[in-house]
Amino acid sequence: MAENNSRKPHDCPGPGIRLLAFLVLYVALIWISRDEWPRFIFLFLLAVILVPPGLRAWKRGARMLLAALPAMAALGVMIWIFGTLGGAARAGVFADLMIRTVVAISSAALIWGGAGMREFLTGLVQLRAPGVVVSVMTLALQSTLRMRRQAGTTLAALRSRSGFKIPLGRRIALAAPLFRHFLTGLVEFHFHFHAALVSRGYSGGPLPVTAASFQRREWMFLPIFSAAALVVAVI
Amino acid sequence: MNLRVMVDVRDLSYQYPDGSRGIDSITLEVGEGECLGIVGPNGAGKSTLLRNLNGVLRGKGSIRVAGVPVERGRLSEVRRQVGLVFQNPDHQLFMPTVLDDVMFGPLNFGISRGEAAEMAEAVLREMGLWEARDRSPFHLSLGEKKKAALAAVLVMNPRIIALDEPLVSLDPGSRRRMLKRIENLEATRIIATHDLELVVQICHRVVLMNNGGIIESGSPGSVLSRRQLLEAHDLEVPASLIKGPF
Repeated sequence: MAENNSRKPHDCPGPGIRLLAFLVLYVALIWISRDEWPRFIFLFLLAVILVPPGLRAWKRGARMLLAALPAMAALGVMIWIFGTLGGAARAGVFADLMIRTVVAISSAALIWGGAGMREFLTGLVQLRAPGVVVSVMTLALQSTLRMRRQAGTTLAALRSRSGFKIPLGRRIALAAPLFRHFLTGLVEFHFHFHAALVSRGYSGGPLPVTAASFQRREWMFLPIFSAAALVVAVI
Repeated sequence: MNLRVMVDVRDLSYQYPDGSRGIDSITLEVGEGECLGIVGPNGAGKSTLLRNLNGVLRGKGSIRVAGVPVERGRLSEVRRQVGLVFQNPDHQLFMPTVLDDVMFGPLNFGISRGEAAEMAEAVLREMGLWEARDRSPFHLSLGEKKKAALAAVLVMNPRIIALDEPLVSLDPGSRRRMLKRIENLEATRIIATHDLELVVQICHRVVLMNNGGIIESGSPGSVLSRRQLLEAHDLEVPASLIKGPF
């Protein structure tokens, strides 16, 4: 039987380009002034629309849109309160900070919802991020993933023996042991994680990750995205 | 059998940071190419002993693996000699892809990227995991994760392989295939397990542990057929060693 050795191609645009788009968002977040928030929001929407999740990943696309919804809702509320988004931004430092926080969190949610850990790391490698950055992100994402799993385990442990309706007083009393359960699980994971690293000769340097490069069609996508971003910036 | 000693443990004790005793004054020798089973109830100290063998945990006493003392300054050499396969593969596999994970060990030991990739490919093909090389280890089935964890160790070509519950939670088919793989390994194998049938089938010698100490050692047939001894330590005689009709 002939073996199929063909690698699964990246979605187009691949994780590197998508990550780049989100990085542009973060840069915009830092550089665009308070008075230019509508432009930024447009860029934000543009990134969501222009950075599709790929033809074969409609579920991820749905996740991305879902991740963007809370941010849109939050911005909508601000517009409703202050009349316009520009008005919200001009309403004061607090409102400005709120908007930036909402956009920052939702951008992070978009990255998280739109790309798995492997894709995100591949994106970093594609963008030629320094090895130490990739390593730190790998370890941080592993920890985050385990934290999420441990939170699920803790919740399951609670629900499996108590049902869903727990009186408020009991919930408060349970907080400490549940937190301890969560924390113990995390500490144990990091104990195993350390063992897994050092038992295979790891001594603290950057983690070795296989190289990934942009595909031709991804290179073609780059000027499209850049042009769109430029148009928004100029208008 | 007069084999060259590959693992030499002398008066080894280990206490966990919370004060609980992991292992207590263990002395043990394992010969080259030998397959040693370590059995015992939960908390007997089996996993703790394995982790001491490649210096992940550091107890009191002395350990030499393939002639190399397990001590600070020589740990890299030790870890090249002793591959440790964890009980839970989720604890062992952490890189973004299976290929990255299998290449992790060789790259840490200074092997070039090209050579490491070739070594990883050979092992992954042998284990039937080549097709899964670009997948995240988290998305594999448990059987595949176990194979990937073993591959990540085999790729380093260690002379000693310590396996912690290698067959636990596997379905019968995966269990049979994994057992065959372990049996065919040429390296010295130390297997910590509750699975006494595994020990009977592939181990040359067995050590019974409890409360951090060695209770008994000998051939699997002689140790694991003693009902009273096993029941006293929360184990049961494996079905293949029960004589007479049921």
